[in-house]
Amino acid sequence: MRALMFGMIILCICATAAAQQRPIFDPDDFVNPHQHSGPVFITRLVVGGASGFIDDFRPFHQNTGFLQIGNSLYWGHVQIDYKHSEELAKDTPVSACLCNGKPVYFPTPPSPDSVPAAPPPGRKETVQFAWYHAATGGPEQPRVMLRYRLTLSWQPIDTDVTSIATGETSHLSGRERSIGLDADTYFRIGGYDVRGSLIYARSVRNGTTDDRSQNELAYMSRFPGRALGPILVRATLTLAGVTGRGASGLNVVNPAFEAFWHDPKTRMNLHLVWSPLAARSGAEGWQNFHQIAFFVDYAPYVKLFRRTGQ
Amino acid sequence: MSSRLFTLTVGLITLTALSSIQVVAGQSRPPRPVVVKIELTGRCELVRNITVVFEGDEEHTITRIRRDSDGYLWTDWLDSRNGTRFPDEPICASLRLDGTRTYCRLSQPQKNDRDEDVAFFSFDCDERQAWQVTIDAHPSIDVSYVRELRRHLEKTDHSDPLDCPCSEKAHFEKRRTIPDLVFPSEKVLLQLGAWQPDSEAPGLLIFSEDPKVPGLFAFSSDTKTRGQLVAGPGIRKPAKNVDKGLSITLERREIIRPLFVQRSKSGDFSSPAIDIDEEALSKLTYVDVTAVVK
Repeated sequence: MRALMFGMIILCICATAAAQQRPIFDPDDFVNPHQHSGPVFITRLVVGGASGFIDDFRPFHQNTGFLQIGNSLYWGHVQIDYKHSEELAKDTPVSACLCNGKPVYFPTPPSPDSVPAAPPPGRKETVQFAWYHAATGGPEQPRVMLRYRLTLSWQPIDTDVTSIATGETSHLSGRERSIGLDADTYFRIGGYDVRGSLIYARSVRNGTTDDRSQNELAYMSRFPGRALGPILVRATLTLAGVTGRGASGLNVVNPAFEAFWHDPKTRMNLHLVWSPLAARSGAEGWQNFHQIAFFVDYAPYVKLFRRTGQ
Repeated sequence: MSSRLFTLTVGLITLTALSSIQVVAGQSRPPRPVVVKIELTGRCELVRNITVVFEGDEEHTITRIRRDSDGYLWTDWLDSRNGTRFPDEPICASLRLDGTRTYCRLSQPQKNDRDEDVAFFSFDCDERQAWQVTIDAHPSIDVSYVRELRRHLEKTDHSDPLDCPCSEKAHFEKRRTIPDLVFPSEKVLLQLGAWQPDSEAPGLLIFSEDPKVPGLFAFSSDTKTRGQLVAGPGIRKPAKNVDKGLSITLERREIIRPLFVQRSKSGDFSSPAIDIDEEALSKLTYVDVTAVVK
């Protein structure tokens, strides 16, 4: 009962707050609960950069560096993560003038029926709660482990606005909050395994010069990886309907191609991801954006707790 | 007032139910000895070294077997299963026959001369050549394995309701020979670093039929050497020929790679899954795996 109440409180906090779904630099962290007999705690460091960074289907129009520190606890069929990330890029100065009593900001934010801009770079805190469930893959098939995850994130957005008329600077303390739910899916078509995730997320940005909100419903299909020499490659395809851009229905097509290399000596994992995005808005129709990211992830601390009797 | 009474009643019922569950779960009945009678037909009936694997427990096999004048084999087994036991619940067993094995079969209840319950098994000898696979970890670490064999003639008109699927497991440290493996029918998962075998846990396949799925050994598809045992897909180290078989030595990193290549087949490049493998095998330097026929 207390756990349920705690869960409800967390949900309420999040509903008023909010998360973007996985940024490009967030490495896969699915662990089959049968892989560890006791709890596991892992600290992970991710460092890298992206050209044409895209944040939650919103282009940033700049190159970005990023850093993420994550702590994950895997305990039985439960996974809990806390991730702190920093996106590093040039700040764009914002100025404003009062027109008809309303502030007009420069650079002008995209119109409500355009693809919104990503929030300015900064820190973001993310908490995730996940639960693993084994689904039957059919009488001839082994059971398939699926993960259901709640993601909550919070990003403060501080903006200094310079008045064009007076030269005075005012400060806006805004934030973006999001909540997301994703559920792994598995089915078979024509003898082939089809794996993916169904994702729902809501993001709300306020207290900024470009207040926006969006709901997104997405399906990400994960195609089987393939080994090419020492490198693994794989593709994913995300199809989504995102609100708040003046175009209803399917308005995001986002494939991604990833090359992955694990260095056994240093235990580092290197990722190179190319993720083109086609997004449709009411104002501009379909637009294409390209994001290429290179990053390294490394776990400086891994602790496998052993059960009594081992 | 009535709501407090309701809460109290619900609380009491829950407590009572929980205590009953605890009492039931806590009950451990002593193992019950079962007399086992085995009929073995086919060309294996003259095999001397016979081992019986009951309920998939290949760690505690039975080798003390006597043969009666009618050719039946007799032994005893301690049924320590939770819940229903023999004769209400049949026993699933298979035989290791010193170079070959049988499929898994269910017992049928019979009575002996003293009116005792007897678990009767009837096995057909599978004369296919089986492999003896020796795992030798350096230095010593926990190793588990799970071997699975589908029902004989599954999904055919000739399937027998007394056939049962095999899921046979064992744990050991350092070195052990996994006896009488039939490739490619058997799927064998080697779980290095695991103190308990788990059929749902990931593991390294000892034999892989699929060229896209890494495994230690495979049958050659080359026209000149077709059917010969060779190093499996994803194993980039050459195997050494030994007397009547093949041997392969893998360092830690050469074990971790096939594991994450296997996982990538589900579209997942999980970094923590690799870290867990690295940590679980941190003490391992290398492992020798040798497969030979008798």
